[in-house]
Amino acid sequence: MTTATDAIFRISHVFKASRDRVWAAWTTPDQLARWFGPKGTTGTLLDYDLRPGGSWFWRMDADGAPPMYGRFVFRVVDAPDRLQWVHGFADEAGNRIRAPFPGDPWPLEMLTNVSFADHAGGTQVTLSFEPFEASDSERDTFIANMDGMQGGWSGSFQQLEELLG
Amino acid sequence: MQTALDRKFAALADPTRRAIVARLALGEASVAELQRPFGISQPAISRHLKVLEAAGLIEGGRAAQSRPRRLKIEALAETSDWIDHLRTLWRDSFARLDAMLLEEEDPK
Repeated sequence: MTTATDAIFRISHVFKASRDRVWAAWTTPDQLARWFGPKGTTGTLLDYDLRPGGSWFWRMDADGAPPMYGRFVFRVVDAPDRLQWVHGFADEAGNRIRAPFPGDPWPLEMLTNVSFADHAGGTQVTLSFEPFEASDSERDTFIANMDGMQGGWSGSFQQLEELLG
Repeated sequence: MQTALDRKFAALADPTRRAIVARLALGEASVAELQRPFGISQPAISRHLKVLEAAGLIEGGRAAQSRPRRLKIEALAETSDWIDHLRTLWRDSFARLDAMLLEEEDPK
């Protein structure tokens, strides 16, 4: 029984490319959109602002399913060594929501840490994720930021309501 | 509104509590046994155990302070779905990034 050990929350992989190249693949919107996301889905970056406090807003499309949205708020951006963000599902206006599908338990927000290190075979990327418990003030800041962005998103909430039905 | 599942995830958001859970995954342990490797005070350990117990992740016997704490494996399994989802997501993504980086290396 090792489900809860930290090893379960960590993934490491060696990419056969220089650290600058791998960093660029993670932090350039059009490159990121080419590889990130669950199998069988197409990802679109709706906005991307690489700085602490900035965020990455993502739409995921799969055949025969309504689109899903995610927002990733950067906490650490330290090129080309480290990224840290808080990730959760979002509605089409970018507001944080619970996982928009029934059944699977899912934390509201997750903290993801990504580190990049030189390796004999290229670049080693170590990624860890864990449930995130935001402090009240962090959540207030996040909500305030989202309120400011809503004007820019003219999507219909009706579709979301149907989705959440 | 905090659901039972929120309490589990919140409990697991702390690295010390994850380490306690990892230790208990190897077998039950008393408060004193749990305290030793972490080098933190007994009240601090007790607070962490209280959070884990409130989240339904661990349970203890009757014998007060010395009662051994035990992991509730079925409660933990509930949270393992999202771990599996995330691992799959990243493995699939990494495979695509591997392919993308290789493509560039050998231009057609």
